[in-house]
Amino acid sequence: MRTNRYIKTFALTAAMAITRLCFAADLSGDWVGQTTGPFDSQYTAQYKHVILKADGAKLSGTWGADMLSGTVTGSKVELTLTDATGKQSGTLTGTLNREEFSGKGSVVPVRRNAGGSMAPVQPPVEVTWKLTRAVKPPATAHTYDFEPNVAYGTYSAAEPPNLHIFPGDTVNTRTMDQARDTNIIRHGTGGDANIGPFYVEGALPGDTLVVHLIKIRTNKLIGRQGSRFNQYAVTPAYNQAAKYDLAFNGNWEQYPDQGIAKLPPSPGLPHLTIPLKPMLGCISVAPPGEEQYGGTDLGVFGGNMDYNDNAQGTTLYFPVFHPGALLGFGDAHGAMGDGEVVGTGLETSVDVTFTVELIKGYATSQVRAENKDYLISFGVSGSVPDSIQLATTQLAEWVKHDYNLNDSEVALLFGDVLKYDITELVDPHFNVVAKVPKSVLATLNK
Amino acid sequence: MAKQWMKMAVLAGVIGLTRLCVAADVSGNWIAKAGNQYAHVSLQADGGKLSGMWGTDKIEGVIDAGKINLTLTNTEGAPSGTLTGTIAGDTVTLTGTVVGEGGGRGGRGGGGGFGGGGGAPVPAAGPAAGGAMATPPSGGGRAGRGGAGGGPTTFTLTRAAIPPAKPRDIKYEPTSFFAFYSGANKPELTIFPGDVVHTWTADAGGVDAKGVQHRGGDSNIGPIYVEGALPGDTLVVHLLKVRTNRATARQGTHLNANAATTAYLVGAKYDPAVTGEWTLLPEKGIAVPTHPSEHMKNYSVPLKPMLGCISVAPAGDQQYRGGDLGPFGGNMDYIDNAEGATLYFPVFQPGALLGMGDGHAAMGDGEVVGSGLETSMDVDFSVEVIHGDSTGMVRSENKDYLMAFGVAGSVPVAIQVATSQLATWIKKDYKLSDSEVAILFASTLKYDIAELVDPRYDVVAKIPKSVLATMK
Repeated sequence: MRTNRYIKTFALTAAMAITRLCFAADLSGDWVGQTTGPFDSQYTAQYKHVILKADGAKLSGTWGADMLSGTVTGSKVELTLTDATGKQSGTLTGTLNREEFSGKGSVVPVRRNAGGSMAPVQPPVEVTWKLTRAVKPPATAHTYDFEPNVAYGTYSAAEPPNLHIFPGDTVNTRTMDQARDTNIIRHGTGGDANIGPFYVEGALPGDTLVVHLIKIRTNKLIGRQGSRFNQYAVTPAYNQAAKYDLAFNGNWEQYPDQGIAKLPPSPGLPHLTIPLKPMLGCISVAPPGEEQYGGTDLGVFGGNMDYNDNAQGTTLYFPVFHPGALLGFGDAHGAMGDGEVVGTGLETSVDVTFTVELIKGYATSQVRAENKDYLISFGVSGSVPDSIQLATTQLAEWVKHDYNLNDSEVALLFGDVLKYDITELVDPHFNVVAKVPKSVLATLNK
Repeated sequence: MAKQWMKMAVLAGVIGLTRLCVAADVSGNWIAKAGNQYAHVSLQADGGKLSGMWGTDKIEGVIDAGKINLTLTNTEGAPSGTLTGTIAGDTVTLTGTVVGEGGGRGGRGGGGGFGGGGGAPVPAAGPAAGGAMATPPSGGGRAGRGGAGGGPTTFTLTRAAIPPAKPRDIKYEPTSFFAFYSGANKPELTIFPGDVVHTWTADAGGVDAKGVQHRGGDSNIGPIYVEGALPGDTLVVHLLKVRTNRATARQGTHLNANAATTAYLVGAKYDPAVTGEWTLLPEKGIAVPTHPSEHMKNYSVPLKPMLGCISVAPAGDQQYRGGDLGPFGGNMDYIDNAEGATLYFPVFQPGALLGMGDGHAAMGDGEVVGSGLETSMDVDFSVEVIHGDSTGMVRSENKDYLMAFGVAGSVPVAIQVATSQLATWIKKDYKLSDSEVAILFASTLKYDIAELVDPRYDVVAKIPKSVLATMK
């Protein structure tokens, strides 16, 4: 044991010594490229996964989707970037300082367009840049038991991460109920507080964060629910004439072992029993740039999507807007009908087990998901009709990309088998899901 | 053979007796009509005393030497009308006032809004608060006899048609294909509640199973006159069989403007080689592209034959083209209007005037390419009539769900209409309070976006029967 460790330490020291001696050869590997410049309305940073291959004084590799070539002379570095069509997309010069490059240059910026997707926009802009080593994942994946002690009622990149995890790691944790949880300090004035954020090592803007919901189980007896229709769910005349009992007891009792929830008896509903289907009303990454939203809101970053299939067994795909993605979740429902028509599900808390993965350099404009039956695309917008269009469009782009279909083929496919879910009618934005059955996708030749 | 002869003899005897007794006996079922206003009336004479029902109101009265006096009492025990008149042969004429029931069921106003409000008794056929029409609902803007201000009304009562002793099996070869929904369409077949009809439909373009071209434009067969169906009633249609009856179908291959973003549609490069022609293989339960592209060589979709159009005649003088939809049904394009479904239509015209067509072998939600797999169908159906109980729009059920359609000029309003109609229906049938139906929906409601591409939008709200079964 002791001997072994001694040998290991020795080997490491030797390796480091060699690194120091001939760093030019050592530049090969994974890096994170950061460029800072007038990309949006203000100076912001853009990040890319960079792979370097050093051959003597020559450098080659990739900078995001671009090809990279360059030279190292002493500590001086010159890099040229070329896009997929062969056009020059950037020139960078700088110096190497230990394990970090930095300098100045110009690049063609990639901007988020009106539809939410990213695209390069001419002309090039002046930037400062930096290359730092990518964090190396541990040899084996970790499992964390994470006891949350803070929750945030706001979606923002400014919230400090509470746990750093690597792709492949598993986290066992729990969510906070809408009611206060004495063990969890709540920040922010909004409702729908999320635990986290979880910093996912290696996640960069432009990537897709993959979240597998392995387990979601209610961990308390009561799930509280409203009993008045929201204005978007019924006609004005209906709600005007409705006589609601303001003292109506909407405290469901939840029995996860039996998989059911029971409503306290009321005259017309003496035995109402529904299947439990625990779901996360909120699941999010940090929104783009300096955007900050209340906990009840939703958008391209996810948030209060309130989809009743964001449940155990579902995998979610988030576009990443900040390094580390900053995953959070909360607002568990023991069950919920479509549209959250009374403004709540069966509000409760749940135990959650999840793992994460990364898809580097590919992201769609909004959140996507899949479960054993469907590929699922969310459309979040200010109106249901727009949400329908966004959900259909994103699903079409995804299926076209993954199954190599042309526009006619994907239209035909959707004309045959598309399904919609109206998930959310009552929050600051509307949410519609478009989905296609995997059973039919399985008959396509990729 | 002998049996049949005997049956006919018995029938002739019954008819003979009816004829003989008419002058003396006012007893029986009648249909009262005043302008566009109708009521089911039953009368029983016991000496000079009369009893019976006028719609849901109770009748008490006297008959003396052909002169009739009636007083009506509503379901809450309040006086609801007085009528006096005479009987002459098979016609009764009565004059007086009848107060209808309030719009608690949420009838439909002529302008298009679904009214859930109201509930107080209002004069017959007058508009209730919130746009709801009193029972019986009448044509939009042509409510009842006019003069809702309260002058006396003269009703003419005629004998209700007598149903056959046993429901019939009717083979119906349609020859009429109407491409607009209207109360003016002439019925091609008359049936009674309980009858089973075996028929077929052409595709949306009017082509039948043999390739014969009939009128297209989402044409419907019929219409079919259902004896005993009056405005204010509910026509129940059981779809016993909906099956494709030929090997070909055709589908669009471009996404509709309402289904995808403008940017997507502007950028789309459609491939003329993708034809949208389908080969139907009912023995395998699937459809396959007839000229598949490379990626779709092994592609197949499950067959789920449905009727894109199923309709009664719209209210009053309204006329809509075959592609349109509304409270009368029409081009609702719902994928679960399939074999095993039962549809409930508000009746707007005597006989309801049922039609159907526009079969799809399969279709995704929203009909996002403007068509399903358009083809012809073999259809078996039976009908029933529920007196009264008309909701503002079409409803349906199958083995899994109770469903309400919301047809409107926008998806958000269609959602509200569908939810409201389903809530009103379930509140009544399951005797729930407003809070109870709200929490039931909040925990179990499902929506389907049925139709995005036609002149109106169609959203379905539905509740699983498995949950409803736990409620009692």
